[in-house]
Amino acid sequence: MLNFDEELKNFKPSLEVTKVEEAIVRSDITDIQDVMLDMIKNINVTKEQ
Amino acid sequence: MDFSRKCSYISNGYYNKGLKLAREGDLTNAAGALKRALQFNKRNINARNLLGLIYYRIGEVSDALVQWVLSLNLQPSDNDADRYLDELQRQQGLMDSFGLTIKNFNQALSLAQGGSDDLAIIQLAKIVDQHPDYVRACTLLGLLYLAHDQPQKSYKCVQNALRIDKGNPLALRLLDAIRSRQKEQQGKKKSVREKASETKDIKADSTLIPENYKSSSIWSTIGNILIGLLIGAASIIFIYLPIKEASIAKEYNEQVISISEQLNRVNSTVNDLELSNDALEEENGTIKAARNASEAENQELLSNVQLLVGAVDAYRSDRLTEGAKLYAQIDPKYMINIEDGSSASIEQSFRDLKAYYEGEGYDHFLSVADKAMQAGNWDSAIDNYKLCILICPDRPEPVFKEGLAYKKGGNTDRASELFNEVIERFPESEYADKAREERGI
Repeated sequence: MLNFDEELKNFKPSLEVTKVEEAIVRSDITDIQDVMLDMIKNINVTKEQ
Repeated sequence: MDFSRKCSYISNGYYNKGLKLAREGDLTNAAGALKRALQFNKRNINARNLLGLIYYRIGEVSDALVQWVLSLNLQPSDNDADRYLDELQRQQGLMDSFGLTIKNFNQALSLAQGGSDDLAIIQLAKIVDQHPDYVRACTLLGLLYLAHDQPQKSYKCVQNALRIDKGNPLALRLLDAIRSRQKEQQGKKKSVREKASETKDIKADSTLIPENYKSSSIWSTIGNILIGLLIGAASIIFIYLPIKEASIAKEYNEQVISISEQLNRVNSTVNDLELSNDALEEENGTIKAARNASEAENQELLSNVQLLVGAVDAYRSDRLTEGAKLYAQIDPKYMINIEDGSSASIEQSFRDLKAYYEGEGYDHFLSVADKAMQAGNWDSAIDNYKLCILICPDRPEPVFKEGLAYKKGGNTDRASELFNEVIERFPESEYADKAREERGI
């Protein structure tokens, strides 16, 4: 059964054209390779310590 | 196989899945697969560009722009995103229209979430009318229509959304809800029909009803119908028409506001253009004035140089009177050297000429004039004194003597004018005293 209020609440505003630049600056484009590299770096630092 | 390569393979796998789904028109799920592809490899340019295209297709132009700009940053050359962005930039009107639509959608969403469904429906209907590909606007409008018990209109919106994105989950849920509501309504109608047929059966068995009851029942039926008609008419007049009027007035007001806004924008643009036009005209005027002034200045310079050349030529040819007249017309401020590559010095030539005419030349003309005075030749004397005045206008002697020549020649009025001039302009000089004597002051 469709819950009208719940469905309406799920709607988020669309990104406005004037905010594109801000969105690009804020965008996080980290991929799994970056995450793994970070983890490896952290492990190495911990080992050195 | 190293980790990085594995990630790339997985990313490509998701990209292929996304591409397949996009080709089948299931854009929501395609976007999901492409996002997953980018989680494994952010540099999967094809996946990012396709994700941008999907956003563009469903009307989320800003999200499309974000993906294409990021794509271009990650791979500046040989990238389709460059072409997409170029095309969007070329159609500035389209971008403005999208920008306005997105803004209006956000307003409508805010209205709907704030409980002003009616206003939200009006705004969304306009948006969908202008941009039928804006999937989120279609689904939101469909949701609102269904909530206001308008399944037919809701169905149209949902169909429109599914035409673009056949995997849109909300549109699918709405479609289910619309269908189940239609089934419910059909069920209700059926039960009403069944009840009606039962009544018919009872009526058919007319022998059970007494005759007098039957006739009164006919009259009461007619009466009921008339009462029903009256109530219907009254409800149209008192309920339906005011609501309709209010809705028309509301729509009209919104149209007026929208037209006013457009008019204001156009007026503002016109004002800006007028202002810049005025500024350009003013600038043009200044440039023209400067050019005219410069041309006039050049003309003056040329005339003065011609005068100098004529004066020097007359002096060299012993035509001293002509030379003096030309020299007197020269404006010293133009006697400056011109960087034209020639060795001629205007300044030096003028200095030489000035030295001669203000010295030897002046004495010569004064002496000729004095001699003419002694000989009683007043006209010649006047001419030569005039030359002296032309050459050295700041000396009182020739002015006074010219006055004397006029007096002796019988022109006392002109003589008086010249004596007065000497008294006024050179009050401390000896000629001022002489002039006063001549005037009898």
